[in-house]
Amino acid sequence: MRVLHPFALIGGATVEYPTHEAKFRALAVDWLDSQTGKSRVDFSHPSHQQIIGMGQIAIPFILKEIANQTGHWFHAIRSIVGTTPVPADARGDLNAATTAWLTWGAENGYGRIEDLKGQLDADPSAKPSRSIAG
Amino acid sequence: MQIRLPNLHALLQDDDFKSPPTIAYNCVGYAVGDPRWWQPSGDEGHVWLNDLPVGDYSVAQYVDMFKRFGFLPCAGMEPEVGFEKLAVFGNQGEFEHVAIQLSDGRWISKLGDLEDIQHPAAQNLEGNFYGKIDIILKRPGDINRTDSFPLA
Repeated sequence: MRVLHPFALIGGATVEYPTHEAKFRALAVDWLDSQTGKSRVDFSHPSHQQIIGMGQIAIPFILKEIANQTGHWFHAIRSIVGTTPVPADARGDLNAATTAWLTWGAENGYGRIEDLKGQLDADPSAKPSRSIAG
Repeated sequence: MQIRLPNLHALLQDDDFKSPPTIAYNCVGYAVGDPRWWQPSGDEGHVWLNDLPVGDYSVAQYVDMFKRFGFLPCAGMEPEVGFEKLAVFGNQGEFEHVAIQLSDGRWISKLGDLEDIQHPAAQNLEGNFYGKIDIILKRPGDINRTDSFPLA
């Protein structure tokens, strides 16, 4: 039986990836790069929509992004999970919302907070450049 | 990342970069002195005024929001003693950016998730990326924001 590899539509082209994590990474880089420097985040971007479409399989990857504060990931994970652990009085508080989601992740079997933080730093090519200086 | 502001790089020196990149706050948060990410998205990572509509990204709504912080439309962007000024950028009526005037006439901008920078003129940021200056706002105040870097 043929193994179905994950596909993604990026920049108008269909791409096949060896793993779901590779697919997620490509979509994340495409979305984050498209938002860099912008004053308002576009959650309707096609790559962001495809990340939500990955469903629960994307949760551990999103938690890594949240832990490293690479972008505005609460919308995606909340859309997949269907609820939020962020208390109402923490809205807009990046660090409080980050802690709430990482705690939720630990309590739901997605790994320790300490393990999630810093994992992306091991692969700098996985992140777009985050500076106007290039 | 190649930001879509090709004329800006030549104007900036190393000491014009006033903060590391961060997603903790945006230009709007910087303008109103509340270092969070201000956006009418309804997202829990963002903040907006409760009685203003979610999903309205018009310059008009952002001006309404700035009015709540005491900013009102004014005619010119030259510095005035005793006033703080903002330059609100838009593209076809949609909000794109807000820059803040320093007391010496220069401007500062938080560039989305990137750095805070200072730049000689508000017009330095005009172009395809942030659009054009749509309106100038001012409020009484005498804050020298060069003392406030970085916010977060």
